[in-house]
Amino acid sequence: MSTAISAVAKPMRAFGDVIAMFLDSVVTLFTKPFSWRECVQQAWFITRVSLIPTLLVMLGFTLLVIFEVNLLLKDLGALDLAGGIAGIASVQQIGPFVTVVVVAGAGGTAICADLGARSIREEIDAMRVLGIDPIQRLVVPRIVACVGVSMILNILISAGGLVGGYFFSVYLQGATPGAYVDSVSLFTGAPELAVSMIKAFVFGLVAAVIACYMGLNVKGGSKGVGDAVNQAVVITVAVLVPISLTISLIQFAIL
Amino acid sequence: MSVVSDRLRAVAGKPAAALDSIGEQGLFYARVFVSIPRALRRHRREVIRLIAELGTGTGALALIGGSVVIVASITFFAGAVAAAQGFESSSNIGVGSLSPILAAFFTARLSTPLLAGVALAVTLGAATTSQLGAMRISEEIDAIEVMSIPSLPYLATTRVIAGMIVITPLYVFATLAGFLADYLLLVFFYNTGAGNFQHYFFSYLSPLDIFFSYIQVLGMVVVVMLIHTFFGYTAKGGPAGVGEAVGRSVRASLSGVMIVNLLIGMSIYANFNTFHLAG
Repeated sequence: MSTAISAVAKPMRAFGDVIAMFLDSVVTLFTKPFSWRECVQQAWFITRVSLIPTLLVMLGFTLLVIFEVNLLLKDLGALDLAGGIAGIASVQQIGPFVTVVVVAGAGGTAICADLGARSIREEIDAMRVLGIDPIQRLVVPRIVACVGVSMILNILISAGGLVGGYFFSVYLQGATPGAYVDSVSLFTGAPELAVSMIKAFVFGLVAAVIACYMGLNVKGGSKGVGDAVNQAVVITVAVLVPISLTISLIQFAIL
Repeated sequence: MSVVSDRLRAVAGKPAAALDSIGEQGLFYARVFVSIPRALRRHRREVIRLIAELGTGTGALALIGGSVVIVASITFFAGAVAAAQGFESSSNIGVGSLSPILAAFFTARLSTPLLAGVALAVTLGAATTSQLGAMRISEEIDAIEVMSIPSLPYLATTRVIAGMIVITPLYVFATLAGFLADYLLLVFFYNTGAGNFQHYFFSYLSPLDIFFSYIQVLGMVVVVMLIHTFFGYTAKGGPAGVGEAVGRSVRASLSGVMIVNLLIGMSIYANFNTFHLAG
């Protein structure tokens, strides 16, 4: 019985710790000086590791969806709507989704590996001894950088999806160029773009918080860092997919 | 002077280093494939042990049910997103009750295989890299070589084979979870009616689609296991290096998975379009 309770209690405790760390960083962000230098360096670091995966994942993900949807539209005789579908696909659903995958898989893993390596070298403890708050110096700049980068990546993926969809639909599958451009705005407008950006904001935040938490709480010697990075990416993806559904359902209920 | 020449050398060496790493990876993959018969003959028990391990996961992930539960829950929510977006978009043009058709199409062909690929890379793949990397830096792999057991067939090839086998039951659960999400969302949340759902969903759910998506996932799992065993097997630089290797392998395999998915998907569906609205 007690093992069952502790099996349930352990993940709940970790969940509470993550929330506590998140609240700490929010308070720190507004009350203590913000380390700009670290934030800019981290933003550049995250961009550097995630730019190429972003482009490749975007190509695979968006183009496959647009390609298959166009097959469906061709059968319905509604290929003129290709642009509208590309808009829905790349701006509303896939843009944020690919951002999740890339921010969790590329940015998150890099942050977690970096912080994990510092934890096991006891650099974090050394910082605490010197009176430097790791939340202020390490976590807050990373969260801000990760959120900023994921919103920029979302714009890049949405725009790239629309452009890639244009080439696919027009040159490979015979949609009319004018009809494609015209129908983009049919389903996707400013509110949808805003929701997409909100999604990217939330995803970047969650990915950064989980990666920082797992990185700062590495345990267990040589296997520890690898396991922490592995768990961070699994937890992030598993948490973000339901969050994406929830935001979409709220969006449909309001708009 | 020496700083400048060092930098020049670093810049000039970059393309060569990239080529070098491509060659190294290619050689590794070729050796994995060549040693498949050997692994099946000599290490059959290890393959069976790995199948069990990959299916249930290790450490904290096993607590919540292992890879099977994680992959299925990710495809569940992906199916729900596909169903919700399908319903909202189709009711914009007044055919909301036909949305099970869209759900059948999107879930079977797109959301399940794509998200299953991502989920495989982050669950099976990252765990493999972390495990092999830890073995490499604690010199267990060297110890295996010293005992004159070729380490590559024993560690890498067996994992690729186990991944290809474990994907079958795993993908069954993933597909069913996607369909269950369609049903729950469309019938109970959007009230399209159970009978309506069954009629349209099963009229337009082509069994071939599911088979094709299984082939896509099989291709992806081979890529995932190859990339992740490579990065784990060649990890260096202490415990920090293992974390670094896991990060790099996830980035590489996400990109690889998506490109493989696009190529397989295009080559299948451009030739066999199984979707016919009017029969």
